Amino acid sequence: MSGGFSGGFSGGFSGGFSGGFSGGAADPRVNMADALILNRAAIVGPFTGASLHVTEPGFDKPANLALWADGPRVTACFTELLEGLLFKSNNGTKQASLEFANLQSSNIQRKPLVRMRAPTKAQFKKQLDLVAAYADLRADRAVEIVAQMTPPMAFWSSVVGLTAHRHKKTLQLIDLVFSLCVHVEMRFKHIFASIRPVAFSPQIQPMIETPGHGSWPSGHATEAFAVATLLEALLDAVPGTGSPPNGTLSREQLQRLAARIATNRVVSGVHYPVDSAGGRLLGTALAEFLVARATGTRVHERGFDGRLFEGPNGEPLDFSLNQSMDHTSGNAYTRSATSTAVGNAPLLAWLWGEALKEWA
Amino acid sequence: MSWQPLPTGEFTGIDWNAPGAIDGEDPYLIWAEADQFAGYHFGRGKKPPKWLPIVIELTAEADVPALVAASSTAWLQIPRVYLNVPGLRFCTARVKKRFFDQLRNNPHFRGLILRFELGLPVGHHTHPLVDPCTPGSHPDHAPGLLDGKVLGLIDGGLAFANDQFLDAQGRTRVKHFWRQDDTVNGNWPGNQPHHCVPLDPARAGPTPCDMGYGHELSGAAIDAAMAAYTRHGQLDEDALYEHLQLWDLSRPVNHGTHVMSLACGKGNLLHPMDDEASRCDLVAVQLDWSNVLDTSGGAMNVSVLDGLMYILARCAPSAQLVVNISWGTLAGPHDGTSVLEAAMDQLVALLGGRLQIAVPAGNAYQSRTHANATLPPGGSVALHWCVQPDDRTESYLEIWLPAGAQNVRISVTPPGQTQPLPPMAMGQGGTWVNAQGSPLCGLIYPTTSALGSHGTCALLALAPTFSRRRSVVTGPFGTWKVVLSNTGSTETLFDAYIERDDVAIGQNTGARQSYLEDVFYDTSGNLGSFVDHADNPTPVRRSGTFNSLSTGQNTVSVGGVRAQSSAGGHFALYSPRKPDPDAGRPQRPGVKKVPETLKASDDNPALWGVLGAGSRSGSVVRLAGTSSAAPLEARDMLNGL
Repeated sequence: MSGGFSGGFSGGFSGGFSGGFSGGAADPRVNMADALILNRAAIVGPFTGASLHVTEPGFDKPANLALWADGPRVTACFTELLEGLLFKSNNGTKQASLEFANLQSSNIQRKPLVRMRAPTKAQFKKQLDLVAAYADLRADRAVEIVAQMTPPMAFWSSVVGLTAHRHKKTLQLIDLVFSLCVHVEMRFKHIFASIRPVAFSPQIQPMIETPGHGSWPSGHATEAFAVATLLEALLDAVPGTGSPPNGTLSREQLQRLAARIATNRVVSGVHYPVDSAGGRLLGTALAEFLVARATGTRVHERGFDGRLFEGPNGEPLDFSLNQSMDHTSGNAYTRSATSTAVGNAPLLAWLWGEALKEWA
Repeated sequence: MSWQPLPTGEFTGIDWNAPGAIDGEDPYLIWAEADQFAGYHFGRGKKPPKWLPIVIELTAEADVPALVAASSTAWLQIPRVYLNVPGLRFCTARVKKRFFDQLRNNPHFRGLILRFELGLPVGHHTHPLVDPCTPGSHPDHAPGLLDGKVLGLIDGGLAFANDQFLDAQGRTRVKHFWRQDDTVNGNWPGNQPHHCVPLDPARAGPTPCDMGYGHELSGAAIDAAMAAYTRHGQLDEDALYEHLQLWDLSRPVNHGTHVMSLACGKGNLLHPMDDEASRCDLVAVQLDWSNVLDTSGGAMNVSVLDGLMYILARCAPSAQLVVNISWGTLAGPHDGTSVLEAAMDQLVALLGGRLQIAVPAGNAYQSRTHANATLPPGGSVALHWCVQPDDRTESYLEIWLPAGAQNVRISVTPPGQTQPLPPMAMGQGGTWVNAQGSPLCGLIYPTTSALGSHGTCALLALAPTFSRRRSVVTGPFGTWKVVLSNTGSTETLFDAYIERDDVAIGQNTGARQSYLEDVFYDTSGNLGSFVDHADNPTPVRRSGTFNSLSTGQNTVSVGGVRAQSSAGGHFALYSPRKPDPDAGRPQRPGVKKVPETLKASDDNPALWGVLGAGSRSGSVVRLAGTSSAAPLEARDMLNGL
């Protein structure tokens, strides 16, 4: 530490000073540090001790989040969001589930949030016919597909009018749900290790690089439907938004955008339609979990059984928003009739409240 | 808000508001008189045209000589070429005001004419013809009649000196070339030049006396000009076209050249074509650019029919002729009974197999320009017609009803209005005007129409939404709501077609295509969203969107497919399909919505269009559309003769 400090100090001083004149300073922060050192030395005078009034922030107060920079604030909230999540898998049934346990409770119980089962290899091979057909649309959608390779915030902003200057906390909530999705979907992708379309045929020839992780469920679909669900819930919770509330009024466009982003990955040749379907379920469930944690409400367990995602004669099913996710049983998509509490998350609750103010 | 009565026409002298006056007439003529021909660049404060171009269908007992005998060239001028085909019941003409006096006052004359449609009254189309038919005149016989297999082309921009169209000796295979324009730099709606300089006959060629307008070049004249601009064995094509005052042909891409190369070119080094079509004689008619750029409905009728008659007049009676017309519009009866389609049908029939005509099926399959729905008793259907801002041309919606639909009422709500204009019943017409009394919108809803032979057509016509000139009246843009209500006790149905209003290659007319909007119409672009589905309740239908000059009985309509089909299908997305994916849908009698045949107009789903000749020798360009499918069929027809 001391070596670094002194080296930095002397090097910065001489290098910055002379570099400033010769016009080639490496790090602009060094220039500023030099200026501050010179300035203080000129004005400081003899030190008079701790002379100011200071209010000490309360212990473990959620409102202290307002004091922190964006990155640390989101990180603090994220650890709270992840607390109590665990994965279970069953090699016999080839099922896996995401469960939640309220670790703050004296009586810790695990409760399933999402149950997942991938389609079989034979089903994926049938889905490849759809992937090949979707390739027709590549020329139409190349611009969108490339624009959506990174998180497609501009598309969401365009639907609900998100702006960087006005909706900072809303954007941090979206950041959180994205991070939650990425962490959860990567575990499921790892567990199921589904084979990508490119592996089944040399004729798929994706128009973008196939990502280095499993195919099912689609991460883009998971994230897109999570953002759609989160924004709908947030806009519905804005006080005085009218009836029906603006989230409900925006739902169709949000859902269509999520479906478009998901299907664009199929068009590009890196996913199957059933990946979109699995992602739709998972993303919806994860956003519901975040909202329930932030607002102290309850969630309904959701499930997706890929083996049931096919036509009556085993033909491959395309992905469609018209497929209901709310069957209680007997369908690929299921939603439990009973609900589960997911505990309190004061940091998330604070962020949620701040985000709501941005839409007032 | 109310409808104002239709005026008494300044040109026709017809009181369009009188009972029955609009029945059986061309609604575009009525609308033109209501807005003082504003759509054709006359309008308020300007003199109306002196002559109007029209196309006429004669009654069953009449023929062209009888019409000529009953009229005077002082007020009715018919190109002499129409004397060439005995028994023909169709002709084009230019007429003065007295023509309409005669229709009113001369029962014999009136009895000769079944119906007529307005052509495109701009530029020289409003001038008298050179040497029209006079009583007792005989058919002309042009020199250099072609025999054997001949291919005719009617199109814009036909670069006849491209080596695709030269014979083994380097002479042009275009033995007769007729350009329909008359002035330097063209003349068209939206781009009227201030000074019209006539073409120089010494360069552009003489006016063919049997046509009465335009300029003609013989093959020998083209060859002589080519020789004059050939240095060291190399033809300077730019200089040649400059000399011939064919400035358009110096542009790198021309629709007609591309089409002509597909119909009769020699292919390229990779895919040489050595068939009869690559060697046969050619007759080429270059449409007036005012036509190519036109945005209104009936405007092609006169030019295309004249073009067809020219091609026939340059062939011997024993010649076998295939004509390709890669052009079209969107509105019309679609049952083959427009005047132009009926005329083509009769010509093909009269020539007894010596004439075949290939036409494209159209490119508007995804353009939302057609609606079709059943109207049960007491039922109604709402159409939402979206007219774009910055549209500098008029927009038109034709609503076609079958016979027996007299209880259908039409109600129109302009954009921004909360209340509709009073519902209009069949037999009525009116205009909705601005504060100065100028029409922003016209609805002409007769009991029968000159535009087609069955049922009727209601025309809704709108003013442009933008102009840089103060004198042009502009109307609101946005969504016009048009509600059709069946107040009768029997079920009926309708087809509504928006007229074509887009911009041709390389032009800037300020036209913008309007379209229909509906909540159930699938615009997702997903698989399965490019065709109609029987269970979708939207009235906006792809099926039935069809080139309105290719629904005749005797012409061959050609749809477009992909050369390499894919898992997603083999149809070009812009083309009507065969069979119709939604064939069970009720339709007016006789409507054609399925092409006769199919040819490749796209290479594959990613590479739309096919390669063909650019304007200059050796250049290759890719153009998409069923305009490329029709000439491939024409080529097969000629080779199969």
